Amino acid sequence: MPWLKKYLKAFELGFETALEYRFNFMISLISAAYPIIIQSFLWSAIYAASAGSSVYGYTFRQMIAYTFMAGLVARLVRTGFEYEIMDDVKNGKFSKFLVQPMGYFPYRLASFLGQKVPGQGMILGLLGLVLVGLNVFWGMQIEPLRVLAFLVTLVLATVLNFLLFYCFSAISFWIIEVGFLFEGIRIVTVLLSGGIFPLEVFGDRFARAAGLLPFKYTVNYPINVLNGKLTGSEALQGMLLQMIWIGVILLAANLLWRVGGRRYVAVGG
Amino acid sequence: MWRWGDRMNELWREIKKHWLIYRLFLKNSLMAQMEYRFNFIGNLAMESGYLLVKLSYVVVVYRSGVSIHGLSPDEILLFIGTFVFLTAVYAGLYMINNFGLRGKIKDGDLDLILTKPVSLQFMATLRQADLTIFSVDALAGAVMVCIAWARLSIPVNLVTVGGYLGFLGISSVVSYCLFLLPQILSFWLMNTSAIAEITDSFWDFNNMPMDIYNRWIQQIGVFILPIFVVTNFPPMFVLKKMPSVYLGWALLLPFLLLGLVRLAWKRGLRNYSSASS
Amino acid sequence: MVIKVNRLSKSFEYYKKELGLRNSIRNLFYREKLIKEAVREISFEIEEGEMVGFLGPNGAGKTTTLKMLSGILHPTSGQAQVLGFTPWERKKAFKMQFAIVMGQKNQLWWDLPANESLYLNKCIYELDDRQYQETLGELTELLDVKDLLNVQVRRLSLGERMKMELIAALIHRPRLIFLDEPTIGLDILSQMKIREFFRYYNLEKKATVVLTSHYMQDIEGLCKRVIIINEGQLVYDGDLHRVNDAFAHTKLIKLQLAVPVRVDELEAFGRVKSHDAFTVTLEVPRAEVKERSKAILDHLPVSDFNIEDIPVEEGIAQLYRRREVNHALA
Repeated sequence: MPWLKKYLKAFELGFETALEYRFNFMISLISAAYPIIIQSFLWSAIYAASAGSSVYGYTFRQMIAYTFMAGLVARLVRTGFEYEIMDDVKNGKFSKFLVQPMGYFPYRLASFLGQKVPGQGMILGLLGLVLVGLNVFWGMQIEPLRVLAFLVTLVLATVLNFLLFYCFSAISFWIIEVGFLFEGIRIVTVLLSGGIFPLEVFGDRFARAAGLLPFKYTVNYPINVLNGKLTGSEALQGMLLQMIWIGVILLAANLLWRVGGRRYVAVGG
Repeated sequence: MWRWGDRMNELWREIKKHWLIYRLFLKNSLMAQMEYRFNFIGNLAMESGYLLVKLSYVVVVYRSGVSIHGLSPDEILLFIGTFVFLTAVYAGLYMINNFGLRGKIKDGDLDLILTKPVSLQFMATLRQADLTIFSVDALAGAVMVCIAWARLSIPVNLVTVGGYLGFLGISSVVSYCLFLLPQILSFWLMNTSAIAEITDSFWDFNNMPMDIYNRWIQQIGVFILPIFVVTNFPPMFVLKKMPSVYLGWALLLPFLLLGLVRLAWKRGLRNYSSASS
Repeated sequence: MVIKVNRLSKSFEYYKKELGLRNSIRNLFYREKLIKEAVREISFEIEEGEMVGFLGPNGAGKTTTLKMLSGILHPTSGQAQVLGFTPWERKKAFKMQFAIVMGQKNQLWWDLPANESLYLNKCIYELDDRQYQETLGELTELLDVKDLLNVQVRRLSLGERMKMELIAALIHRPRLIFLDEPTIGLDILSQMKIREFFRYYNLEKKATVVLTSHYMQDIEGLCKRVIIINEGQLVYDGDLHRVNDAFAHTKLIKLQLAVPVRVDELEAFGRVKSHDAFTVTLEVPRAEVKERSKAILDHLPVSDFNIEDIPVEEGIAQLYRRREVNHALA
């Protein structure tokens, strides 16, 4: 399949880029550890002061487990190509793709996945360590089936997050200098996806409202599959919803990029 | 004796001059920023996002409704408000300069400022400001502090308000020094972007009152790596929770750190080789 | 005496860097230190009101010398007195009296109109309003940029931007001006304008000017005296037009011929530098100019005849080359 080859190349390039910046990546892991530490201390203090053993429906151990996993999963699905797309549009590199027999979307996807693989390996390793630690020190049982389901939801979550940010990137067609806009969007999506605190913490109404948005399915949902908060059928249902969201966002991305692309051509790049 | 008076006059004149120039820096930064409308919106969005995350901690504290190590939610709001306000100072006034310092040293961009009759450190570390970030956080922080202040029925008088503002001043100086020091390493090391990133996220340790940490971490964070001094001391003073040892330390620390920064800066500058062309 | 330099030297340390992660880690513990001697024991003096050109090939040490004289760099050894100060002590009184302009560096705020940056400099140099307005008016008049003061710097052409940089540098009426490649990258017209400006400024204000430039026209148009540096060492200090006296041992004889002559016949009279059918340039030893001229006039069908010095540029180029040769032999 020769048409596949060029995308494999994009994947490879992304992979190499990630290796080249491995030092930066490790540093970013260290700074990702800070909030986990702060939140863990916060939760210890809150649980120590509260009367019951469960707060917001989480036991202390579940909460700490959630905190660690949320930090890692949020990092795992995180994108970063928004700025590259902005550059492509701004500097006219995007035009290249309009004339070449290479789709911009599959190119970006392949490159993104290539960039993700090395880091994901490392984060998964860390996650494994956390799970083993929870098991050894706190005796938390994790069934192999759940781990398997978790891995599947994780792949879907990564794709979903890619699509979401592919949509956001389309802003570049309308605004040339977006500055740190994407960073603002990113941090809000992290909050809405349960990447900082479990969504239940902000109240039932908020949790239900957030459940209507796709973001929950990138962090909160995979973790709940793993930590046993969801029953088997709930987990399956969630997976289905993940896929539905992927379909919906794919359509939205398609639409946005078609309109944006038309604008790009009209304005002249 | 008159000599000493002369020197004081000279010093006073220099301070006035630097303050005048600083105001011009702020004005110029604002004008330059307004040139790029959408960048401005982008920065606004970013800082609002970060603010939202900080507020989520407030929500967690209030909804849990418990007092944490003797601090009621309202008291914690005072801490977080102070943190947000000081984030305005750090992220709005210091950060761009700190992150830019490495590039300035590497590309030899200190050359021209070195020949100016003003303090080089002043020019290199305070020249730029992001007033969008500053305004968002300063406003939000002030509102949070005022709400907490009112709910806690803290009296408004010269001692409380003056003391609080005084400690805010100390915190501003301490954070200036604390976050500049690692950047000064750029005079010796070529690649310090990693250091920049690690120290920057270090700032968030102020997000919660230091009481949530255990004693050891508290002592380290006050006396060895004095990050906790930045946002804990002003509210601790108003809440009358400040041990006298801390009071003395708070008065000593700014001078200690400024001295250290000056020393490191001068040492580093001797290493400045310009970008030899 | 405005500048007095005594055996000034500057060497830079740098590290050999090899590629690869393993070498990066090894470099953390041990690095091979190498030393580059950028300037070696240079001595010279410059009088008040002089305009002196610094010449030398790339990397010769011109800019490094200027940076030491303006206090940007510490020398490794040697002394210098500039306006009575040791420059690298960076005394405020010293900084108030001189200016440096570097063609490749800018001090103006990119996104703001130039007058904002100029006003900032007014405050930095503690000028009072009258002084400031007067100087500003005069400089903008001279450089013909009065109506550009309110335009953002990034919207100005390179030449206009350089003129603004000059105004920013001269707003405090410095007694001493260092110019490092002030015309680099500018079009001919802007170059001429800036040269003209400095000629006037030097005459009118009696300011001392030290200039480095790649463009020979800059130096020829402005400086009577040149200091030539090569590989960090001073190789010539004196009148620009006597560079050849000191170094060139040949002269050029230019001929117009009535009938073409074959090259091998011409070579009997001197080295043929260029020739076409009717015009020939011959290079002959300075000491033999008289005899050779006579021989040429006697034996060749000459219709016009001229004896010239080797152009200054070429003399200097020879100077550079000679040093390299010496170096290669050493």
